[in-house]
Amino acid sequence: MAKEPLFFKDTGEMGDVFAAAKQIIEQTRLSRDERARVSAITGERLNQLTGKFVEYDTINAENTEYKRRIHELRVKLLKGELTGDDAKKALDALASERDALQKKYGDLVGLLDTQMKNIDSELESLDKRKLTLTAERDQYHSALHMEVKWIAEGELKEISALTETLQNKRKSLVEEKSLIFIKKDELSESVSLVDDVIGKKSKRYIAADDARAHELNFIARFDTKMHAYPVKIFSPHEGMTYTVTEWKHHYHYDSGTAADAATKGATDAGIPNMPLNAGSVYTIDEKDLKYLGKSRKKVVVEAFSYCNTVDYTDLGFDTRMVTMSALMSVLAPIIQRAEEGDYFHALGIASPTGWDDPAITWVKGEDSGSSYMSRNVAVCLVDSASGEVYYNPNDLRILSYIDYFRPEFDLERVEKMKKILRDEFANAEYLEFEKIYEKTKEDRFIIERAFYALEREKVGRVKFAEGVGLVFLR
Amino acid sequence: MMSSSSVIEFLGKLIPGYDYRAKKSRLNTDRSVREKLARELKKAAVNLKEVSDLAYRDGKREIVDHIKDVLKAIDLFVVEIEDAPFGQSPLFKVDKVNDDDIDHMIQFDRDLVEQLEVITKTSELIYDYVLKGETSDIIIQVRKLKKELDVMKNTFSDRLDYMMKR
Repeated sequence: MAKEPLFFKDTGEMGDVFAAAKQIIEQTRLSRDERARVSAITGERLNQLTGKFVEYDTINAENTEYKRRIHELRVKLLKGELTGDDAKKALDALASERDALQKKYGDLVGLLDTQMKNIDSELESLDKRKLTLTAERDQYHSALHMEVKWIAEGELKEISALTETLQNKRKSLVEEKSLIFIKKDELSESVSLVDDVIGKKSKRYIAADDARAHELNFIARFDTKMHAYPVKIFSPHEGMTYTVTEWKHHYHYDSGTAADAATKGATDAGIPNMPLNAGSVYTIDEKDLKYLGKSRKKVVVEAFSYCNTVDYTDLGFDTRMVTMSALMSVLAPIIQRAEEGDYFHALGIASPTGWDDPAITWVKGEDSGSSYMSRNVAVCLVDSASGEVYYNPNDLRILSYIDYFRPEFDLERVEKMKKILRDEFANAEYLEFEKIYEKTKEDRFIIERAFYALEREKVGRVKFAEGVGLVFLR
Repeated sequence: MMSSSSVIEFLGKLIPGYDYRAKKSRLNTDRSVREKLARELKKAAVNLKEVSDLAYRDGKREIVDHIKDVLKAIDLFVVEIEDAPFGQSPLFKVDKVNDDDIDHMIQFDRDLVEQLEVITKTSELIYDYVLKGETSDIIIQVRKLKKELDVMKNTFSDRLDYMMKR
């Protein structure tokens, strides 16, 4: 019996093999040419789109110079070297400069918008090209078209790299735009820096020594609380709470420029007496796998003090509350880093001169929860002189961190509450727990501990009354 | 019709350092072209050898004989290419060669490379069809391939003649 052919079964004809070969060669050549063409065009466009704005640096330099002159004016006014009228005249002279800067920033925003639009359309055309190439790559399964497939694959890789570059550039443009808005706000507020001094609107005077003391106090208390193990750290992204018994990643920092100024203004004892905008950071890092892999940040808890260090250096004191635009310029890079690293960052920022009303309203979320600025960052503001803490009570992410940022220890809070209760008790027959809570807004456990502490001191006794709750009576 | 610069660009991509203008690179260019031709022909031979082995396994002696003819022709052609009188052409001895001569050389090389591409690709296609079992007209295709190889041989001979007569 004849052996059955394995390959030469003659199930069909090859047809015009030469024509097919020529077609494949031509197609490969066209793909190669097209790729070279697209690559050249895209390269050129990319250079245009990712190029740096020269105007941005120039305008920023002008803005710095303008700010320096305003600051000088303010310092002279505060030192009594300039009368109110003279300051007003000088301020009026600077008005046109301010308006011009604001206009330039406005134009720059327009430029950024155009560039973002161009990037968007470039991303769109890259997407289309990607679709064509994917179809080309997947169209052929024969080894004969390997070259066409390789060319398509090569360009697809290039496209994904280009797309990433463009997306990163777009992201940085969005950030630049938000920074420009902050700078515009700062410009609008710049007049009030001098106006407030002329109208004597400043509510608080904080000397450099006091500011430094508040700063040290805030950071030291925060550090103490963060070392009262076990420390519970809530991670909203993971929906879990870490129990920390030892900090592996912790550091302190302060701003270099302020530190230099502080050293220059050091007292005779050689101890810096200027606030340093010091901060303390605790991080929880986890590896990708249980024991192997790259370590990634999961939660960062940071407390830092924020002062107008330039004023402390030049005047030795400060009267300005931290404004909304200053707060935003501090938060912008923090948000950017947290979003890039995709970790949760809980922030407590303390200011010895306090916070202005817009900043407080914003952080408390009174304008329909507007303090929710990022999925990755939650913030609370601390007035380190008065001890007040401002945060959004509806933002569950920050609630568990408030006690760490609060400048008082629990015992101090209980003592303070005991004093309030004693004063109230002097004029009343009994004190209702709920009414005290309504009045003071202090944590319930603090009021409860104060009630029982007073009972131990034989000031009165605690009783549970049906329908009323806990009561303190004689 | 491709322009002269695009022909050079096209050849430059296939043969690194392709340039007949300078005397010192002329010899190297000729050698590189011939090496490229020989290498690619050997690739086509490998494909046809595979097809011949499969035909032998299936007892298709007639097909094996036809492929053998082509393989023999390729072998001879490769020897001819590799042993072509190297450097004896007046074109390689003078400092300056006129543009017409350069254009002719480029045209010969382009024709050879294109014919070679078709031969290699056709051998790949034949192998592909054999694997699919569509082989009823394989002898015609192998003969066509032999004819294309003959055309290429003629072009190569013309190129050699042109070089030697200069």
